[in-house]
Amino acid sequence: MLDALLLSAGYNAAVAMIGATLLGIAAGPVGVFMLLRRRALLADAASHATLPGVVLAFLASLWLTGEGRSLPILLLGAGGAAALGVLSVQALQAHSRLSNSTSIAVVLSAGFGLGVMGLSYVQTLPIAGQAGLDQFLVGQTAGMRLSDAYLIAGVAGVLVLTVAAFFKELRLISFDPDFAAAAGWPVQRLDLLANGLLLATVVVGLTSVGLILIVAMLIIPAVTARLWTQKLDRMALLAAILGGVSAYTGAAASAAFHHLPTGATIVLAAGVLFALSLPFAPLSRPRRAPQVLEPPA
Amino acid sequence: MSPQIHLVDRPLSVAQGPLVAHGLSVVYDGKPALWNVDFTAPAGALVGVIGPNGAGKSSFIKATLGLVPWASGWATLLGEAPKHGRARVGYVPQRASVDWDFPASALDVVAMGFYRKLGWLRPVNRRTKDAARECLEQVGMADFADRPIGQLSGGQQQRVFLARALAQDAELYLMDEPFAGVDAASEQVLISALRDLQAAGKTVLVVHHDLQTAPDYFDHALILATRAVASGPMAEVFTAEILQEAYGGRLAPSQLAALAV
Repeated sequence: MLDALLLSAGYNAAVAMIGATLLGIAAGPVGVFMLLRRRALLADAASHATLPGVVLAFLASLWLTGEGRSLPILLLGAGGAAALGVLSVQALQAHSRLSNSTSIAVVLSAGFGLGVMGLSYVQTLPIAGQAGLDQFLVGQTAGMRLSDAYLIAGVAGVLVLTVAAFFKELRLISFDPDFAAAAGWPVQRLDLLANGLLLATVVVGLTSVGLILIVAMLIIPAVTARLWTQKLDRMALLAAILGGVSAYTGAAASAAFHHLPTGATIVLAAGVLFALSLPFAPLSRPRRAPQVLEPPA
Repeated sequence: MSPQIHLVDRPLSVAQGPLVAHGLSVVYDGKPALWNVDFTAPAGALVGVIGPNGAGKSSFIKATLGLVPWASGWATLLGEAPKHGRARVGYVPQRASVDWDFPASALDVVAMGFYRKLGWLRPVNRRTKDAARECLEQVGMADFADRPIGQLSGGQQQRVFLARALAQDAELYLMDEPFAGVDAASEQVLISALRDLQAAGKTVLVVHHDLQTAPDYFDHALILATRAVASGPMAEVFTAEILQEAYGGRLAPSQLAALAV
């Protein structure tokens, strides 16, 4: 474990750990805005909807190139399917009587069911490479190649820079979308940007955390950060740190004990940081009515 | 019945006044919230938008800002379609429309009034913060600049919203229930801020629910009960007959007597 933490548990493990850490850093701030816009469960629908996309992309890439396990192509399929999942949730809400959470539940379970079916079919095929596909469920960084790590690093970097650049705009539409629209900001396009950040995080998160647990990497560091601060900029920074630390230690644990899936160890690390924060953080206690006394008029 | 001609396709040529609504209707789920409202706000007026619960007061404000779709009619802000005119309008939404547990200080919220001036991607700088602090001072909240908004009282939160609208430095202000649930001290601060705006030549529309204070606070009124029951100078429209019509006869004689109308 100590070897792993010091990045000396082998070249592959080190590459995987750095990839996972960068993802954790990006997921923190993206999760902060997701949480404040009350879209936490939308990420869960998106992530579960990626599985059929991964399977389809695998088959398509096998047919086109003769090799199925090309990470960029698989992630492209995942991204397309996740976007379709989010659009389905929004369409269900707009054109049916289903509530927000019910729409999410329908899309989440239907998408995942479809994906599991596709996965079972692919695994019966007499071809090589399909064995790795189920790693997308709970995450496994052990087989990560350097080119994959570059891809994740690139996406994570773009995510962090985008959040930083649009920080003021994202803060505005998260707090008061009506005021933002009245002041002339294109709220729908900014909303689309925020959803795009969410989808990108989910998709690159498939590689290290896996689709079942990626929502935890968006929520837990953000919630933990909220316990410590009342300032949005500090909350985003803290969530990035917490996400990075969780991913780093989680990936190290997974590298040290090969039978542990990376997604589970990373999310557990984030959960431990949350649990440690609860008794000590200043904002853990339930909210009471504001204790401000007005002078009598 | 003789055919009537409605000027619906070229509203800009006929729009005189900082806020004009013509035949404006808003419909939610097949139920009208606002029906065929004609109204022109006189420049420099302090207008109370008055009416019972569910009379479409908020819908009227949101419709003129283009925040809810129009079922019919049109509106202009400062002579332009809302989409363009609203950038020069100061807006105070209903206090309950946002989550006050949001991680922000009073100063952070007021700074949002300067975002448009800052433009895309430019972060909030020191000069913006200083300007926001001045706006907070105008509503007597300078000492609360760094206080998390969740720890402010209702009246203080309302003052923060007003300070954010002042930061927008607009020609026309639309305020949705700024007096709802505020303490007496905040109410005094708010009303004197409204009068300062009027003295500076601004036009202000305020959704207001308290009939007792309405005649003191506003010089014009738009009385709504889904449709526009009456509009004009306060002395002309704030009559027992018009109020009874707007409130569907639900005002007791003693209530009307107390209003001295």
